[in-house]
Amino acid sequence: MKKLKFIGNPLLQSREKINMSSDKKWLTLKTTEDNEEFVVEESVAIMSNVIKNMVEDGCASSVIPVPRVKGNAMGKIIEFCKKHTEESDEKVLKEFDAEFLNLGPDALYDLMVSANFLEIKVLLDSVTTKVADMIKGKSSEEIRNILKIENDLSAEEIEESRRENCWTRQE
Amino acid sequence: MEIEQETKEGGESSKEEEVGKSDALTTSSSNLFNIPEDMLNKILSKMPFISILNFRDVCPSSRTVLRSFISSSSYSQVHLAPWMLLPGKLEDKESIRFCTYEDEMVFKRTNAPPEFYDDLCLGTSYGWMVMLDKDIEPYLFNLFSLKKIKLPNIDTFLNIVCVTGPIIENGNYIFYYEGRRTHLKKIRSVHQLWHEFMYKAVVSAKPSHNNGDFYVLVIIERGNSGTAQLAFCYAGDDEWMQLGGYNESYCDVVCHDNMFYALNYPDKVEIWDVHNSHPTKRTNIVAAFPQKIFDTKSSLRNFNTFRNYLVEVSTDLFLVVRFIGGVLYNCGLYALELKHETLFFQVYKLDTSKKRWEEVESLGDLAYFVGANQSKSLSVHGNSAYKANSIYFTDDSWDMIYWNKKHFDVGVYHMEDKSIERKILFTSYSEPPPFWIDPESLID
Repeated sequence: MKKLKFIGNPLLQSREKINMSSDKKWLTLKTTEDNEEFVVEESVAIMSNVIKNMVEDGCASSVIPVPRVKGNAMGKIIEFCKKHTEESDEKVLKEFDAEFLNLGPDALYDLMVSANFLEIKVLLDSVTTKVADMIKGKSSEEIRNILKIENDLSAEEIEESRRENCWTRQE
Repeated sequence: MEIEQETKEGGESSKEEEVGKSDALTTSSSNLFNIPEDMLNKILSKMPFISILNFRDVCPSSRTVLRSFISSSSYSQVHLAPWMLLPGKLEDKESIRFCTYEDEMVFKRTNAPPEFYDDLCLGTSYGWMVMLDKDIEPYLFNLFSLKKIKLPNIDTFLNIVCVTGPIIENGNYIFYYEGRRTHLKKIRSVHQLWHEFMYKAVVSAKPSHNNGDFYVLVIIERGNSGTAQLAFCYAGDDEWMQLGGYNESYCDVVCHDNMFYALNYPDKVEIWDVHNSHPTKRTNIVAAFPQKIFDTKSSLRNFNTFRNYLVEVSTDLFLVVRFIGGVLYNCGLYALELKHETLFFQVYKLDTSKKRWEEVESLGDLAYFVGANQSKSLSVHGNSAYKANSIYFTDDSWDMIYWNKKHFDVGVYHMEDKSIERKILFTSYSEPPPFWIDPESLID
């Protein structure tokens, strides 16, 4: 039996089930890597340019296969798109994004890659801004820690960079 | 900084896994560099410059990433606008300071070589300064990597100025210029040589460590004769080469890869090819300076002059004319001080088919940077440190600077309302004089 996922509030789910037969169009997205299926409103799904094109070209059949994106990333992405379709208040969206993107670097990279693949500009912009903000104003050492990057500069290179790049910003 | 996992509300929570758990998604810790290049560029374009500097030292891959960022379209949208070199502080000769123009954000770097504040700068291009050391030997100095590259000896240079010699007598340089014997004391000689003979020097490109390919051009003015020659050398050359004849009056040169444009007063724009071992003049566009320029000069008060700059914007060439007035200031009972101040600019665009300069009223969303640097234009859309449709200038009236030793003529001219603002930072003399520097050269 296939697992269908409804993203959102359980209270809304029943309302959505009732509305399923109305004129709202629904799409099923299936992540081909791990075979998870997501039932999403078309208006939410077309935030992805890729899906939008498929729908407009009439190639969107009952189940749209989505390669390269894992199920949990897909879930997050749908949550984001849903919020952005429903909500129009800039302030509320900003707060939502801030909390939504409160993730580790690895998670953010995956989100970024997926958003890029699916061509969801708003999400891509938000995630890239988030990563930039995480390392803004930080020293090389701090950036390494935050992004969990190994420092494999040779001793020579470290010395050279220490000599060349003693840059500070002053007011 | 805390990195938190977010727990989602509602839904089938037992089935939904958080994206945050790294073991579910990734294995390698340096995942950042597995992200597609255009996304990395997007992130970098959202970072302030000083953070990009710090990013450079994170690991070897970060330098590779930055290099491709610089050549990407995301970078050109970021508009790393030029910095101005600030005068040195007596108590801190180990540091070099720069600032942006409008918001005066100051960047400081340490580990300056001891001779930095003693040697003279002839001009800047990208991150390079063309310098003359105490022995009047020219070299290129990279402000960011601190690399020095020797240029051909001064002797071959001076020959271009029709100077025979130099002979050294009692530690002083003696040379003959236009039949007159001129005596240059070795110690203070550099300054004298500079402001009598040299106007400007440009370098063709940022020499990266991959290819040391570049060439240097120096405009040499011969005192009051009104003529100015071009001296040229390739990286690694032993001698300077003279380009053009002795009756030229070059006032500006602008490089574009293997080609450069030279403005030859009062009516020529020359396009030179630098492909072979000898640069050749490919095109000579004869377009006389508009009469308006001369009429404008005549209409100003005494002690005025104009300087000409050539700015390249895509494939178009612009003549930027800077009108400088000498203003007499009363500073005491019998003392009058002559201050040179830029009054306004006029900008003309070259119509290559009609062979005419047509005046332009607006620079669009560009800002021009002129002075002792290789003239440049930059789109400053979205950059808070610089205003569009403006001409930012530093002082290159060397004779006035060294005669008065009072102040520098630095500021910005707004084309829209024809207003001029002077930069207070430079109202008193100090060394070195301000130059425009391109911080992008910082990323090797």
